[in-house]
Amino acid sequence: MARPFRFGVQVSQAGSAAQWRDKVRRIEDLGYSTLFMPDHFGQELAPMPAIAMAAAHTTTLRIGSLVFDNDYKHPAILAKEAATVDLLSDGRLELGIGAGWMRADYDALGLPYDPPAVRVDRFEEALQVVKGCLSGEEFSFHGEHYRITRYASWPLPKQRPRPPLLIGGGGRRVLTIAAREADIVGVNPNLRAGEINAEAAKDSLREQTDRKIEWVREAAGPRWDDLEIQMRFFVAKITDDRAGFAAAMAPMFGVSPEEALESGAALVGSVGEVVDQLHRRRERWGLSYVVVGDENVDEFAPVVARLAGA
Amino acid sequence: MLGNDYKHPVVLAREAGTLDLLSGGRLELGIGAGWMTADYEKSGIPLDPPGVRVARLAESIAVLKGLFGDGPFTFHGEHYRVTDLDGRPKPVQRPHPPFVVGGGGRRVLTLAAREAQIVGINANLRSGDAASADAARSLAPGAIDEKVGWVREAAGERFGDLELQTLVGFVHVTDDPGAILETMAGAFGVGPAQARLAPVTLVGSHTEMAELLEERRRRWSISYHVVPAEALDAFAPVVARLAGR
Repeated sequence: MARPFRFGVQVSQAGSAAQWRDKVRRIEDLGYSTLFMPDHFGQELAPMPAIAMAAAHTTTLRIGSLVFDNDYKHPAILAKEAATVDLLSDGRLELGIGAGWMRADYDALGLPYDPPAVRVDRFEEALQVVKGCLSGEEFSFHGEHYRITRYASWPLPKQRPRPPLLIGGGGRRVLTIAAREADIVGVNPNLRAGEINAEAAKDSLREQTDRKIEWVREAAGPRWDDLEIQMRFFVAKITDDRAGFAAAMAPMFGVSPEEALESGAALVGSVGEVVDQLHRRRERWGLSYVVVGDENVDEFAPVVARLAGA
Repeated sequence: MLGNDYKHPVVLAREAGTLDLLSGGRLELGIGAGWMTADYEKSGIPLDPPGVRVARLAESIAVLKGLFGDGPFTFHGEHYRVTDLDGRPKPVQRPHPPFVVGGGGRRVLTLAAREAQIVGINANLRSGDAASADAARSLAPGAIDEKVGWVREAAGERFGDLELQTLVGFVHVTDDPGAILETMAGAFGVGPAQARLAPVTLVGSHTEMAELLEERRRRWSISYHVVPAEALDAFAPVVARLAGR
């Protein structure tokens, strides 16, 4: 049986305390499941305090990271903060973690931008550290990158055994890790270039997405049925002129308008067309967790009203 | 306060800016050099000698202030390297939220006197253990005289603008403080009357507590007192009497 649909919004900015309060309450009122924060060093708010504050202004809205970059914080520190936010939000956290990819951030911070394989190795170790911390049990971990000695993290998260773990990626290795370790798998464009470019856009087309879903399915084995498949739609538009919009965006993907519309990063059409499209994608990919941007909150509200929980 | 070694200052600046913005400008940013040996050992974060940790804290404060300021910021130090980064979001409080920098040793108090708005007068934690005899003795009134002297000297003309803070770890309301004062006197290595003045404790009736705080302000300019959560109710009458005066 298909998983019920739910919807998230990735938000990154607010100009004041009152704006943030109004924004997050509106997202909750419109029926979205989750508010997600990215983790970058441009114009974005810091994710952990922003989601903590969002939780304080709401009662049922889930809060999460899409996603925390593992290299910005020691995993034991991340885990302690995550457990704190989960406890103080009464169990509403979805913990998204990734290996890190945005080169500009690393350069600004003076952090070494290691080759992908090293970042992913470190990320795999970090997952073990985070899981160990969230268990609340004393544990030790001696890896290449982290060394934890007889440490019992406190507080315990409210959700047991731990908050849902969200891992997203576009390459086979990270998607395999996600399939084995995560509760929510984000299927994304491959960002090995360190920036979002035409190559990344092409990597989100239907056939590429088919292949990624196969990787996840294969690595997940019997876990597949427990996984929630999530996609972040960077091109999202409610419009009665689907064809016209497709013609305009196709050059960005370097493909035909028809191919662009079927991309795993695009969600375009009238409310009815988008609803049909999501049903088809759930059948094809198992996609049930749909994430749009801040700018789409209002236009997608009718889709949320029709599909959330269905 | 926040242990500087646990987070990169660029990460911290972004979190502090966010908290200040989303709280409508209510953040006080407390940051220290880091001291608790157990934290470092368990997490595998290297515990450098105190001098290195304090030097790193000094750089970190420079990075934080640079990122809170207007426009892109570049900093090439021994420990941090930030290139052309315009820190976002900017805090609501300009030029930046008040910094709370505290410590017990001369180096860190000198740094605090020069850079912070609120200076925490704390135990000397060079042993890495807050319960050590060394830490306790560094809180006796004579030791506090010395610490405040360092702050005064390093602050120069800034001293009048600084707020001096202590963590009052032990609050006990009683009409008969004799036995407790004896125990405290032993820990601090001084007589009972001196022990009662030590700014990390507050023992007596509410009236006596208020008098003690007045005396500590006269003697050391300490006007900002932080009590543990469990003392909330016991201490409330003193807050009602003295806050804002």
